[in-house]
Amino acid sequence: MNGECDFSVLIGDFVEDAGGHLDAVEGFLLELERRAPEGCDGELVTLIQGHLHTLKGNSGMMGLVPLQQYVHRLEEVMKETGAGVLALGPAFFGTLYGGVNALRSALFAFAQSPDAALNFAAEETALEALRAAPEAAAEAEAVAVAVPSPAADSAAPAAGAVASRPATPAEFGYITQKSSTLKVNFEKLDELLNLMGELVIQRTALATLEKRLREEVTDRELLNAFNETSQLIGKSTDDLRQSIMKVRMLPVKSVFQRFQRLVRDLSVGHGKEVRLLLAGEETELDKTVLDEIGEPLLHLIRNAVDHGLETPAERRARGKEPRGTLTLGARHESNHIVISVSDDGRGMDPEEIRRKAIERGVLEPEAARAMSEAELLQLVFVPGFSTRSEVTETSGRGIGLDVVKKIVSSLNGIIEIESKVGRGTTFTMMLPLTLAIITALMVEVAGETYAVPLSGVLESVQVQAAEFHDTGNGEVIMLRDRVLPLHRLDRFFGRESGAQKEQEYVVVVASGDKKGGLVVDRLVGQQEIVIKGLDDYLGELPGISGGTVLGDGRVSLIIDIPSILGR
Amino acid sequence: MLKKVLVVDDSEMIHKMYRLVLNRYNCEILDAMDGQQALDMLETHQGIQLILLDINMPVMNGVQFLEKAGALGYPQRIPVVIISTEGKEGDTIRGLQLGAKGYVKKPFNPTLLHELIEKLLLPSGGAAEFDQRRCANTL
Repeated sequence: MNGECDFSVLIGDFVEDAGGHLDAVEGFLLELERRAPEGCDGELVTLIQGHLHTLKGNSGMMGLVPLQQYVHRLEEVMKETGAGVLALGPAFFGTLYGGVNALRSALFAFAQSPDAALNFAAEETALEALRAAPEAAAEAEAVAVAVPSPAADSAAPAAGAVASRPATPAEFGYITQKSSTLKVNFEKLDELLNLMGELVIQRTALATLEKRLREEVTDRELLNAFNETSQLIGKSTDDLRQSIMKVRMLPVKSVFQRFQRLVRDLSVGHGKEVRLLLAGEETELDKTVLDEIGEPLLHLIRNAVDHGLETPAERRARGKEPRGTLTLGARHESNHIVISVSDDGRGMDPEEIRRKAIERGVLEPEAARAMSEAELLQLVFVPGFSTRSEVTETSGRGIGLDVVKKIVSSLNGIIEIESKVGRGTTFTMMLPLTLAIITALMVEVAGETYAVPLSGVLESVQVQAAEFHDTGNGEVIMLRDRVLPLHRLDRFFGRESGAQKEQEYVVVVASGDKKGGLVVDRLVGQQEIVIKGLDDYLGELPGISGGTVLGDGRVSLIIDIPSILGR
Repeated sequence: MLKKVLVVDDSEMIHKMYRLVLNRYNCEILDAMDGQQALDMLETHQGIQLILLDINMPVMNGVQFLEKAGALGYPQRIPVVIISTEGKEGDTIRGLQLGAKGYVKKPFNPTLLHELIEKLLLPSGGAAEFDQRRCANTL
């Protein structure tokens, strides 16, 4: 209908919006009727006109000509009303309420089937009758005041016949009409999740209490009853949380589809032919995550079109289809959302990366030579590193990938890269289901409990004191023949006790290409925690990304793995 | 070509439609619900290249917006296209006198709007000539 602009995607919005305008019109009409004995309230008439005017314009844009025309007639009637041409009698209000009902029915029909025929002939006739016999209408009003409405009907058949007839039950259908959707401000959902978070905390408190009861109470029966109730509460809390999470989910489609246009424009701009494939568009993400993935995706896609994919000529020369393929995928994987950007382009050559890394002084030649192919690929995430010598308008200069990694890390996610020379490159982002609740490994350091986001934890190991080695450049341990640098959290947070321990726990964490071990006193266990942001006045605290409240009401700080490994 | 556009309309629905209509430019779209918000956005946003302006709005209508913005010197720099439902043609003519570069009647054909936008953003004076014709046709 409108060429490239298909407004049919807006049908739901339009019907809802139009319903709102009709509700407003009806409300103002009721008010107008109430105040009619004191005369015509010009302000109310103007308000009604405004809503009708907007509705008219929107109906026209949606291509609903009969609706647009009828609303236009109503607008004219209101104009005449404002000018005092029409009297505010029962005939007037009857006709207008009838009109609002007819519009509601029409919208309902349109929502059910966009091809529904809309016809307002009867309503237009009623309006014409009203306008043709304003005096009669005024008379009808005079009579109506004195006598109940049946008499008014006979007094003014021309205007009253249609307008004053009792409404049929069908016309009141909108009152009992059930709506299957509800528009809710996202803040309210956030509030709901916040309360949910409190509940999660209290459930944990219950579990802690239970542990103590087991030690102190001897009445097995009571204990078992308590245990059962506690478990049921736990299950309900889980179910409730999942339901709330579901409400906040939106399909990733809305974000993915924005990129079709971008890919088209980029490929034209770079003289490339690109087919964009979308996979798993219906995968649902928490709105908080959805709002954040646009930017990293933008960088990755630009990077793929610009650097990853070859020109048609290059591709032909390599025996590939001239048109490259870029795949944007989304899927759920256990407790994560996995989003991938994959191209079938030239791929990244680890040897070239090695050469460039040495050339640009990013790495010492010796270190570069010792690196595995997988490690070399990770270098693309290093700020200032780019494998292309020339710089183009859209990507290049090595900005982009390090930014992407930063964003993904800030979302408590990880990004991985896989590449085969001549075959293509795939970036995979693994993101938490929501940014509001995370699973954390609770650890104890110098008497304080800290939360380590589980998304960054690879494993935990118990280490004997003898296994720690001081290299002079920091402590390390050997973990399966690999050197693992250590970070003592007590030292990091200035809470060193100096006590010598026989054995300690090391939590092996990763952030992108960096791995490290966090030395802690004790592992407390896994727990779901609700992230609470730290107040701005605290500024940026190194090593801390936020806080959470524990079951017993104590506050625990959430460890910022990237910032600790970055040191 | 078009990087940033300011859309002034009191209907949220129309804003949603503009997002579809302007999708082809892949541009940033600023939404103002009335003339006052539009003035605020002119203050706080740089690089607005085009203003699509409704006339009939609460708080500050399109004509009042043009008067105020004119006093601040905006329309000379940024082309304004009045996009309004039929009704107050007198206001539209006043808007054109106040410096609006074009007028499109709502409901509009997106293709026509694209044509107008693209001509308006040409560096040459072709736009003015086109507008005259467009206004003559639609008013």
